[in-house]
Amino acid sequence: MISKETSDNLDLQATIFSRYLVNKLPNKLSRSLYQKLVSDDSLIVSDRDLKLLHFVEHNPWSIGLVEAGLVFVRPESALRQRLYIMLAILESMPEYHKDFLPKEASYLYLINVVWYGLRGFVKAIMGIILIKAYRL
Amino acid sequence: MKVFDYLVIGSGCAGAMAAQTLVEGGVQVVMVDVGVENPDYSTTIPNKSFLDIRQNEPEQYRYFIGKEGEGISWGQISKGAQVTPNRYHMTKLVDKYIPVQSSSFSPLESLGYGGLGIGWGLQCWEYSNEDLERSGLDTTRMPGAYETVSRRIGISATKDGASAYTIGGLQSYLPSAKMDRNNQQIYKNYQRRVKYFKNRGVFLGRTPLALLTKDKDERKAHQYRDMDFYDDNYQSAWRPWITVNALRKKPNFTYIGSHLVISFREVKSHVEVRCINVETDKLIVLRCKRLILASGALGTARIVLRSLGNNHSQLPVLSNPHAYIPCLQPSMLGKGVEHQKLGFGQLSIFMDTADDRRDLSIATTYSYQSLMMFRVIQQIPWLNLKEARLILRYLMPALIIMIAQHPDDPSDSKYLKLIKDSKSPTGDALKAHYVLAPEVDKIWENHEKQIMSVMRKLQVYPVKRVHPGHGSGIHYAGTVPFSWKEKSMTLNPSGRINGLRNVYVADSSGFNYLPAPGLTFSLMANAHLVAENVLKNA
Repeated sequence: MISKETSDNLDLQATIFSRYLVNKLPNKLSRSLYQKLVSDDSLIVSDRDLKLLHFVEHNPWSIGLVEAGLVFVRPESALRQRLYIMLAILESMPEYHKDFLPKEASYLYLINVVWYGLRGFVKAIMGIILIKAYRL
Repeated sequence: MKVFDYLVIGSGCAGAMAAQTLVEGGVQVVMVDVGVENPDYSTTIPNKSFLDIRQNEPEQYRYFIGKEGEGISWGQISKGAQVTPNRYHMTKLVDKYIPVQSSSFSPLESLGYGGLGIGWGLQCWEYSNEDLERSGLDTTRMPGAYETVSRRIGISATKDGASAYTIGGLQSYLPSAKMDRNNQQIYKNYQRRVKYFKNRGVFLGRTPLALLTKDKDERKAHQYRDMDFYDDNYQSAWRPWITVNALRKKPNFTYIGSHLVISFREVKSHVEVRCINVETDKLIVLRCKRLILASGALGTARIVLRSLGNNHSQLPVLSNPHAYIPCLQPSMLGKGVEHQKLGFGQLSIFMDTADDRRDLSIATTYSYQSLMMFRVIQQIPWLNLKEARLILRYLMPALIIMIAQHPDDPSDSKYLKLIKDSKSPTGDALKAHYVLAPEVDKIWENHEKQIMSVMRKLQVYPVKRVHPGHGSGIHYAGTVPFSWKEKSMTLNPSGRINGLRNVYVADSSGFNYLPAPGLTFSLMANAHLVAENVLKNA
């Protein structure tokens, strides 16, 4: 049996998710909003989901790989849904507006777009291996 | 026993227009409505631009994602995808009081103050004569009714190569608003090859909008703040509640909120109207000399079925089949934020390949900026959220959402009936069945493919096609259709229910056909005519 989540868990998740999504620590408001929205959320978190969440809490480095892998193996997982909630929260905070508003760039930026796509694909392969290896 | 003179049911586009005509006719009018309002958000949004808000407002999450996070929706695009938290009150109480059971039809209804007009996209296309005729509308009086409505609400439009399809013969309109850069580019690309497109039956023009580009009374011209999806500050966009608020200042108009009309019964000298008070769930009976139903085609269907139907009665239903087509315009890649911008759809593309104005499809274009990245990021296939965010920042200025719509005809496979539902305070639910014949589905699929091909020729590249399900297009009609015969649960051409003396329908329930261009302008013009008929027959 996996232990249930406490507010400390949720706070840690907010920090890990924010660092992953925008490379920044979450501000106080986004941390408390994350706690509130996830606690109110009617989403049922299964033991398997809890195991996954505990895994990334203990191994924050793995979040990028795990999420990329989940896109292919369990796209509806609680971890991805919570990441999505955190992303929406961060987008609606003035501190992070530069991370979300359209970027002014030349066509050369398309090279970056291709790079991000490839990077996402490689992460997904590594993530799938990780998910299978740890039976997440 | 108090008997009101004229009772109008509903505060949406049809109700507001019918009530205004009656009030201007000098008679005593009472409007009965549930009228859910939005006390939480209505004063929250500052009069600043989208960019300014994004950069500086610490409380912006309240209206961008909702203070309870209600704007964050995980999963596939569904009905009301463009509705933002500030407008969610339009669907409050709907599941409780007007439930729908269906696996094939997923409508969006409203019990809000202003009805579905709260979130309406403001598009005001005139129906062609052919469409008016097929719909059963009065071809001689509708042009005048369009003028009346346009003068009342303020429509901005442009005479261009597609105006035969957009504004027809409309004379009273303001200049169109300034287009955003995505739409400007599409317009330019179309003009460059206008002959080519016209020869293939493709007509592109400015979409007429119920939007002020000049001040009108207390309403102000549009400010290009790009907050159109969130607020009604300055009231430059017309919403039905603007008219109802103005009517409430008149001595011959009374508004009764928090009441849902269940059914009516015509007795000798008056009409009895049964309502449920949504605050107490108690039933009350109102009496009036003339009843005008304007509860939306589905709302009116419920009331008519309860009042005139039996256990086996069913009514037809029409709804525009539609699809979302996200596209990219490469010339806009990496352009950054657009500072002064209009959020509404600005261009209309008409696919009239047979060049006969029959069964044409229409597509409208929206530039994607103010709807926020989180609403669209899930649609990026096979990519995690972090990399998707980095890519979307570059793609967003080039992102256009097209909405393709098709006409609809009645058929035996599209109908509504009432079934028992003990959970609802009304004791029933609307059961809807909506299935398109495979050959019709094929035609619309071909039209969508043609639209996508046209977009490619305009150097805008469709990424995918999303069908959010029948009924989610928020256009409904044809439930109590016009009929020259004295058939039960139909309307005579004046809008009166056949077989009754004093009950009229002013919404789109009478339309026998639903053309592809949105119906709102036409249903408002029809509501005005029905109200005129009521006055004439008094």
